[in-house]
Amino acid sequence: MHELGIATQIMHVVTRVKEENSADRVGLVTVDIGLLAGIDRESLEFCFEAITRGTAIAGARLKIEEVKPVGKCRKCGEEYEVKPDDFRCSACGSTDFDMLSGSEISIREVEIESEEEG
Amino acid sequence: MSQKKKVDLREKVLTANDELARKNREKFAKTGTLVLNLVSSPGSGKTALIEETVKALKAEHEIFVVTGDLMTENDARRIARHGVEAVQISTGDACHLDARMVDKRLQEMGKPFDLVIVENVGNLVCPASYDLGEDFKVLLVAVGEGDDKPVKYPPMVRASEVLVITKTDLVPYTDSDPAIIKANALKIRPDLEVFQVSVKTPEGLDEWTSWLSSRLKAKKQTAQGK
Repeated sequence: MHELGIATQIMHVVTRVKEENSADRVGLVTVDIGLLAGIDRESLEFCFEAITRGTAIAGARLKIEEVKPVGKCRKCGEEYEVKPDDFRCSACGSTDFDMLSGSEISIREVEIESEEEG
Repeated sequence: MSQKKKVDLREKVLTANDELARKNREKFAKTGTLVLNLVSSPGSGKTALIEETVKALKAEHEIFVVTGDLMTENDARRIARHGVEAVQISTGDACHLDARMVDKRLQEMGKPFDLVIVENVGNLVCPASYDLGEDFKVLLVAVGEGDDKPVKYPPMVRASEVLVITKTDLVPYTDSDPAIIKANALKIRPDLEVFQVSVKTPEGLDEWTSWLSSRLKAKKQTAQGK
């Protein structure tokens, strides 16, 4: 629901990376989005394209990698894919677990292009 | 010739907010301020629960309430009637509060408090991602809003430490069962602290406010022990 805010943050970071590397263009921006992060993929893509148009990073494309929610049981040690409506260990049913992934919103990689001098 | 290069980042998108939240948390630790972040759907009874909470605790504690809505200052006015400091953040069209908004309001007050209650924008999605520097999030689910609400919005349940099931006086008039709401929430987060309250009867309110008092005391003691 706050995809516009997330898209804006991504734009700030990518713009910073472009400046730091004195790049001329930005290509593919790879982001990891956990399936429990509450982010709608299509909406994020739409927002990113809309707000970057006409800016220093115009033409940058978002590549969204969805990250499955994984839990690790503290009782039996099982690592399991967390079901969206039931987070308990899939092996022993324990309610004591750590979430290893699934709620991240992070920028993995930015592809930049520079014209070579001379 | 153009040269392509990949920059490896692995940077969290909400780093800026997380950093501010961390600073808020440090300040609150120093002053021994307990900070609650109340989250729920619109209409689950956040404001009513805050009103009852401040009535019970204001004699012994300095309380500050920050409420967020898209428009109007109605909630802050409702709470200020009880003689505590309350400010409204009208977010315009933002669907959540962030760490900067909360810090700014606190700085404007210019003094520390024992208890800060943040009433977030009624929304079970976005506020889950924005840390405000609170001690814990309190999730409210009202009787009659759907007993499966917790499994429909698991990230918010996951982010919360406390569940308050509100409007329990309505149980006889609905098909809603607080035990089912609770069971659904515990499937997502088994260590949730659960309360069942009605501000009308007022079932469960004492239990909630005495638990809060003990948390207030613990936070103060930790701050003084440093």
